Amino acid sequence: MTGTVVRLEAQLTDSELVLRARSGDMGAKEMLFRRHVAMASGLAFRLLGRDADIEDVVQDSFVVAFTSLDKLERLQAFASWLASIVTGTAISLIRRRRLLSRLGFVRVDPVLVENIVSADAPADVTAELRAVYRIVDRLPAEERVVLVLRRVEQLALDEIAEQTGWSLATVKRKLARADERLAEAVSEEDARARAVEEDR
Amino acid sequence: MKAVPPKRAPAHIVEPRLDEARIEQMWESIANAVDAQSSQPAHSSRSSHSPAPVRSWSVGVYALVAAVALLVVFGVVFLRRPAANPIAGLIVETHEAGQSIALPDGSALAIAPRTRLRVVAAGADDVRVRLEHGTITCDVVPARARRFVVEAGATEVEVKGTRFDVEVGDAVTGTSPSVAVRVERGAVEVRDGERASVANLKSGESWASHVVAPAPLREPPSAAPPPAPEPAPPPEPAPAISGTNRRSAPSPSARELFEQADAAQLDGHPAEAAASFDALRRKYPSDARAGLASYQLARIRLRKLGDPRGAAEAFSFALAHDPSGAFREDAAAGLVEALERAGDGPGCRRAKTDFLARHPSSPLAASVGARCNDP
Repeated sequence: MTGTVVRLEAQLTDSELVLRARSGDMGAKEMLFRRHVAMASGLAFRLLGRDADIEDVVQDSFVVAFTSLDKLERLQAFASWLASIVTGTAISLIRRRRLLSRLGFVRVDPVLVENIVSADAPADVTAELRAVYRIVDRLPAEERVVLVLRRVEQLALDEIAEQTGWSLATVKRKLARADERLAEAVSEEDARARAVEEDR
Repeated sequence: MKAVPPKRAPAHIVEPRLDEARIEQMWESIANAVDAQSSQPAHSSRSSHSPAPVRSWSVGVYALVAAVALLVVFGVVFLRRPAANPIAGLIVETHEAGQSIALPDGSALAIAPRTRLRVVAAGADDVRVRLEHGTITCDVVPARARRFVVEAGATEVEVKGTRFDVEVGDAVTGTSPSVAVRVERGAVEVRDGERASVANLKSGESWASHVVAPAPLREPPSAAPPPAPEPAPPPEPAPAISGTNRRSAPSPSARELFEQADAAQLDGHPAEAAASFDALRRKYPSDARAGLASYQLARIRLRKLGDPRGAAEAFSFALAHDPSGAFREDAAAGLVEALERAGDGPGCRRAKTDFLARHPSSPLAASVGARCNDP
């Protein structure tokens, strides 16, 4: 096997950084932030389906995390703990946006897959993502989040349960409903495509 | 032949743009917020860039939600279609809590606490409300074919598409009560008992029938421990009313106070923002923004000003003014945190129990559940 080998300085682990951060070390907090900001931003982006609100979710999530580090029991699990905070923050935002949209106060533009999927994505993956994001705005917030965590993040059910704080049964139930709607949406799209083909 | 790209998980294909400038801006905001809360000295690794305040998307969102929540949730009384006119003669009387009425045409009346009004007519071409005492805020949908009139004592206020307050106070001279009208947007015509026009008010203008002293600020419902000393509210404008039937300088409306607070927050002046939010909720406790303003105030006190006791008071006010609103869950969780940080163990445990009973499946339940446990 060929390739360039880069030797890195020994890095502090998350556990060590959390311990330092707990004592008020802003440098440790910044290292934790920089280490996990991509994960947090990516998760927020995929849950929200748009770029505009990422900062709010990420910032609020890190502030919550850094101000409640003493609640973190498994120090090495900082990343998954942060992901659960990001998920909760995103759910709150989705709910609020949904309510405002329903009441006609704001227009929530549909998620445009072309805007969020990288241009060089394989066609089959893009098609799957298109199917998911086409229906997310029609789903209740919880079902939406479960669907994205499952289909896009590709988390296992127990990981989704841990990340959302919901029971495994609840996750299964919500995912079943979301999958049902996804299947319906795909069928409808297929039917439309066939109709267009027949018209030609 | 074109190379087939390697198979990648969907999550790796849906990634946001994340450059160093964006990361740096986020970190600055986080560091500022954490600094404010922890009161720890900033670490030397902090960059020296000017601080970027946390964007306040929530302000706009919550404002709209609060406005609607008040209309929809605060014990909403839906008036029926004009044909079913049983509401003519309906008397609405509020006590400690405000109430809202949504009219069939989309107009809305926000009724302040301790207010009494009578719906004189609610027809397709004539909506007429008699305000006997207290304050109402009318948000009227434009409609050419329909008159919208508020009777206040001998005064009539007629509107066509606007938002305004009418307040009937105690009698000042003889048996005539004082009447004050404030226009937030749009225009109204004020007429006297002889139906003669006495004032045409535009946005930001106010009018009153008598010289009155500024009303005392209404205290919010107290569901929390006594608040710590709070930031001083902004200086009140001079009394807006200087004589009978005279137009006067406008006092800051609820909307203006909210905008001031929002601007101060964005400019990185949390104390000023807090003062404006505080003034809004105290001066306009029945306004649709009052609950939201108090929620924002609580967040600032907790996150920026290091005042958890004051935050607890403001969270309680927000909960009382938006009992089923979109930010209730966040406010209830915030109350638990504030009480914990204020060292109020019993209060914290009560608030926690209440939160977990109301929001058992909340994503915040785990973090709330971990709070205020006995050592």
